[in-house]
Amino acid sequence: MNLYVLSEKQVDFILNDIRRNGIQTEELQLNLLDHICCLIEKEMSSENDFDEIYRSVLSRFFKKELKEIQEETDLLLTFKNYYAMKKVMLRSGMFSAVAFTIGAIFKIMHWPGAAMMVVLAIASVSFVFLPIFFLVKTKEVKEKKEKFILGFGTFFGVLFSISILFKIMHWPGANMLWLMGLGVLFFLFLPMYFFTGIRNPETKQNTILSSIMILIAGGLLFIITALYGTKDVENASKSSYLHLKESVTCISELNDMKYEMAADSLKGQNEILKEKTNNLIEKISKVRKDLNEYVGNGQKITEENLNGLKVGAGVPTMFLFDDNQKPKPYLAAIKSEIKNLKNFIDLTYGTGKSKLLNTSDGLKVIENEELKSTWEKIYFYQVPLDYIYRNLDQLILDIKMTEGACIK
Amino acid sequence: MYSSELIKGTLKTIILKLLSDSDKMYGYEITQKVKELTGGKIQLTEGALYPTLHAMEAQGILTTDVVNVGNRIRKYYSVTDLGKKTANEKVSEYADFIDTMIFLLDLKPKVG
Repeated sequence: MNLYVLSEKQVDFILNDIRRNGIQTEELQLNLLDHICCLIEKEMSSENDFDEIYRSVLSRFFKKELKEIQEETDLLLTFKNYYAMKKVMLRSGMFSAVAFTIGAIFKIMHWPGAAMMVVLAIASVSFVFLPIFFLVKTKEVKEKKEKFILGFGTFFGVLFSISILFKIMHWPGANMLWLMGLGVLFFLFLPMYFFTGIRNPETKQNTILSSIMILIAGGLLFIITALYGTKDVENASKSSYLHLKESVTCISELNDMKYEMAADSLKGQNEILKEKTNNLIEKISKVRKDLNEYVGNGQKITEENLNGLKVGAGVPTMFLFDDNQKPKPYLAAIKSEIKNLKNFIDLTYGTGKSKLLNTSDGLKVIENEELKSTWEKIYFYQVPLDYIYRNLDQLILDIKMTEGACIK
Repeated sequence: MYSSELIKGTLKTIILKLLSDSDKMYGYEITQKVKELTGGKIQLTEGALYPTLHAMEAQGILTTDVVNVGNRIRKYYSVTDLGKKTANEKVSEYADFIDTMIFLLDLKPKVG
């Protein structure tokens, strides 16, 4: 049937021409190429007519430009996903909003599960809602500039929500992310938004107003940066912790001297005191060490960076307490050991020496009526890691001081 | 020849029916077949045909086969299982639509 077969050169020419005319998808190029070739081969009778027939065949494919076919294809292809995407966007947005609110309430009330909810909410905002929002919205705007503005806005949103997550979880790098987010807002998004909007008389008024609002909101956020751990507070806290550790060392040395100077007749009971004290301190150190290993999973914790370490309260609480907020055996063992030591001191050295370890009714001193809580909960439940270490070291100091008061 | 609006709404149905009745077809063949079957009354435009074919492929209604033809490549389209189901639905929906239109526009079928 085909009287004429196009040469390779002619086929290449057609392919390049439809590419030049805006057909980008390879599949579409192949389809159109074959179709055009079929038509030409049917109508052509001699070599000379090629150009003319090609032009006339091609012109039947469009109203104004060949590109229309590509655009129509793109439209049909994206339209298919458009509704599904919008649905996912709305659902993830709703989920995040609810999870944020509930998570915040849980966090404020120190109920378990708060961290997980906030992490889920922020992950769904940053990695589902905002990216889809960007894709859907960029389909709706035509100009490249507007797409850029949307891009920067989305980028700011993602950085901002992730930096909040880092902040509340006390993960390292939070401040850098936070400042990067604000940087994107102030130096990329806002100028672009402002200068694009102000050129159009229709949007001028609104642009100025929105820009001022964004500037105010951004400024307020920037002020908040100062809230988080200034260097002075960190240093003060660090040196007070070092002081605490030094006190423990000093008292230990003093106690050792006292043991040596003690009368021979008392050596027996002093030995028992020393053993009991050391046992207790070992138990406390063990909890510290195990906790260290548990928390340090994936993050190196050394004596040096311990003091300034900002580990949220969630992880240590998981280690020390069960799901029903009941302390695990670690703390109970220490508590009973403290009671044991106190009983021994009261019997052997007389009451009054063990005031620092006032444990007879479950650590009365620290479990007072006002707080209506237990020793374990006040010192360890939902307490950030560095405070837990501090509390454990304070306990060691108290024990050492009690020991020192007893040695005769 | 009918107006493009009339054809636009039925393009998918026409393609699905044609492809269900044959093993596989390529774009040019589809346009020729429709022209031949309708005596030139319906002529599919390339500008409408190919975007629809690509969209239907993306939806999983159609599948393609690539064959080398001389110095170019030809894409043959055929219906998937999902496409066969869709074809039946579309055709019966259209038949129902025609009945309704006949009633609505008060068109008396010519008695032979």
